[in-house]
Amino acid sequence: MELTIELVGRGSRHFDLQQVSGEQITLGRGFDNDVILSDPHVCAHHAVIESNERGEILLKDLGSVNGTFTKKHQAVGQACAVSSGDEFMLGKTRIRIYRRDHAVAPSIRLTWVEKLAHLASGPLFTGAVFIFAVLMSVFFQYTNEIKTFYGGRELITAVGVLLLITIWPVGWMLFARTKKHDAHFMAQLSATIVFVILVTLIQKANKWLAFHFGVNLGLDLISSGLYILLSFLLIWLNYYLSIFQTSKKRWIYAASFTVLLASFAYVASTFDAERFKFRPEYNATLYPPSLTVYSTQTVDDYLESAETIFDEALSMVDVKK
Amino acid sequence: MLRFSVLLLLFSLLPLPVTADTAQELFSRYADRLYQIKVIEKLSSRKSAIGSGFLVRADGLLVTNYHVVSKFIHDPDKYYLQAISFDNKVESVTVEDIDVVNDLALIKFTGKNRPYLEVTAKTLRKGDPIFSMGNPLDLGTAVVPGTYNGFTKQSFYQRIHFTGSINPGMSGGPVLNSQGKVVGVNVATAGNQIGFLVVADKLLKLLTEYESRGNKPIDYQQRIHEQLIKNQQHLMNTVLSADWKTISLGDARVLREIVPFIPCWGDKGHSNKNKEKYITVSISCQPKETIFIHPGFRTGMIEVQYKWAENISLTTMQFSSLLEKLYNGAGPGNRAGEKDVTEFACYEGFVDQPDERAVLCSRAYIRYKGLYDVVYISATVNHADKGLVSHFTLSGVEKAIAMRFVKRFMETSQWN
Repeated sequence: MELTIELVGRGSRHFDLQQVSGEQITLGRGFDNDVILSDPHVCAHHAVIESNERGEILLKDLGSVNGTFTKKHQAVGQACAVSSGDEFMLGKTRIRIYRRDHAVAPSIRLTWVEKLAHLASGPLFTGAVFIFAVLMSVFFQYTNEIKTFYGGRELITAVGVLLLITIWPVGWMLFARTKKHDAHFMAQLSATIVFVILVTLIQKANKWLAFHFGVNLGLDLISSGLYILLSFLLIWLNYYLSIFQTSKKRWIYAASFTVLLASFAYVASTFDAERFKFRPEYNATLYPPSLTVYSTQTVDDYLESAETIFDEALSMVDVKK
Repeated sequence: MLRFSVLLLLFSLLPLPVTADTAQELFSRYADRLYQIKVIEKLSSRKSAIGSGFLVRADGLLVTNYHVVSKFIHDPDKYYLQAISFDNKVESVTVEDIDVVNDLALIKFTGKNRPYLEVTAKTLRKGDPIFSMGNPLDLGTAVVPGTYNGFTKQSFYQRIHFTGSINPGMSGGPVLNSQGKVVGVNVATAGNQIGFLVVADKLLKLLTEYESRGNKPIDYQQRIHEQLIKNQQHLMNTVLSADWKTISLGDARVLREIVPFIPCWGDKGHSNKNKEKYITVSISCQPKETIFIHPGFRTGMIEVQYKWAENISLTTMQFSSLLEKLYNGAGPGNRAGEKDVTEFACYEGFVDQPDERAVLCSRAYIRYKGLYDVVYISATVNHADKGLVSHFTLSGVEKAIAMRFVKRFMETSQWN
């Protein structure tokens, strides 16, 4: 009888696999056992695995103090038939018993993501996106500055903000380490910075589009959708880099996390929407003529379209009542 | 002979210390016609507002300011009114009529054969001594001698300019001439000996209206509504029928003072003392008075504002940011609360001649249907190194009248 015994830790992570063979395989805390379990709730000679004449595997409890149980909490007692892969509880220790020919899960194929992750892990790439993000931030500050522009100060501020953002990849790194996986810190950092750059650019584009084509286009909805999509991609990649998961599981985890974050953002935005606005809300953006694309109306046409605001305001009275 | 000389002495002395004697005399003669007005909050039974008032009819009809009793007007279930006489007799009073535009209220307790003050429309001359009476800061009845200085200039809601201290609590008190006739009602102060009085004519008009209506009770909100509608028609017609002249502001031509009661002030902004990166010049036109509806709600005003910006050494993007900052955050010039108005509804678009981004917003009055606050802001978009931001607020106007103003305002904007 040749078996593989898996010692299972909390959270279903295996932490040891032992190859054992023989007519009888003994399990217990005693040093004369085939499989030694260090759990103090396990007896010196706790249980034994045997096979009968038909080749079936049987697990027997040797009258231990805390007993041996199946996954469904049934006492094993004198003999219990074992199928390959079954899980048992000895004291507080969980084990799985496998035949050598037990089929393992299909291997996870390495995808293009791996290449991307490899690229993103390079200090050159991380450095490049970091510098790009800093320069972008300083550039936007520069175009917005109407008094004296202090480049050094803006640079320091931008670096400071990016360091603050580093909390996110650090969190994922710690998560991966607790799961005993590689940290992939550089790749996590790169992904996060790229995310921040993309969000900033979408914001700018959204502002420009909203200025020109108004809010009626549902631009806010589109940009919110884009933010959610980007967040999902980032979190998906965060999971990919942190732990090994099946693709399906990763999708579910990343989607749930995204939904959670999006609902937080949504709830936060409704707080603001509930507050009464004493000032008009309008698109307070202006661009230089070279960046402005517009077609004008005559004053009469403008007023004809604008006239509806009175009815719109009046309809809010009815809502209030 | 001796008797004659004593008589002569008496006569010659008489006209000298006129003010002191008259003030004393008026006070002792008319103090019994003065009342302190209290607005009492029902739950706490404590006063929430105080003012002064005076009898104008023998049957207990008193005059005070609208703003003294405004809390009661808007929340009659939460407050009640008391009038307290010079000898501390407390009378409970009701509001009979109001004039929100001229800040007057007629209130009444049931009385008979009360001594009262007469109101006169007789005109005074600048420098005439007049005497303001009231209960400043709840300190007891006081008389303040002062001087009549004509009507306030540059004002739509005309008042008497009184030189003498009017203090909180004296609101609604009478101002008498040396003959003891009411020539005005205390209403406001601008600090240091400058006081404002409601003109007696307005009070006489309200009294006539009240008497011709008989004893029919009024709906306060409906009365305010009517008066606001009528007032804005008068105000806007005055503004729209004026000759709108323009002056240059940078390369643009903008409105100069449309009417004297919306005076304009100018200011120049700098970027930096040593190295000027741009220039901004602004013109701001605001009326001195607004209509008080309640402490959180004012209306009946028009404001106009222009800001001109010219680039010296900013980049094109930076200059556009400067214009954006000037264009940002436009708001209404009048205060209003959540229970008074809706939020703003806005329309944004581009107009030509000059090419501008223009935003027109309006919010509706909740209790005074048909009235709106209108806010407009625009910025020119076709110049990289100069720009004009134009803004105005119309508060408490009807749609049709507002649209006439907007059209004319937009058509007035020109570039040289």
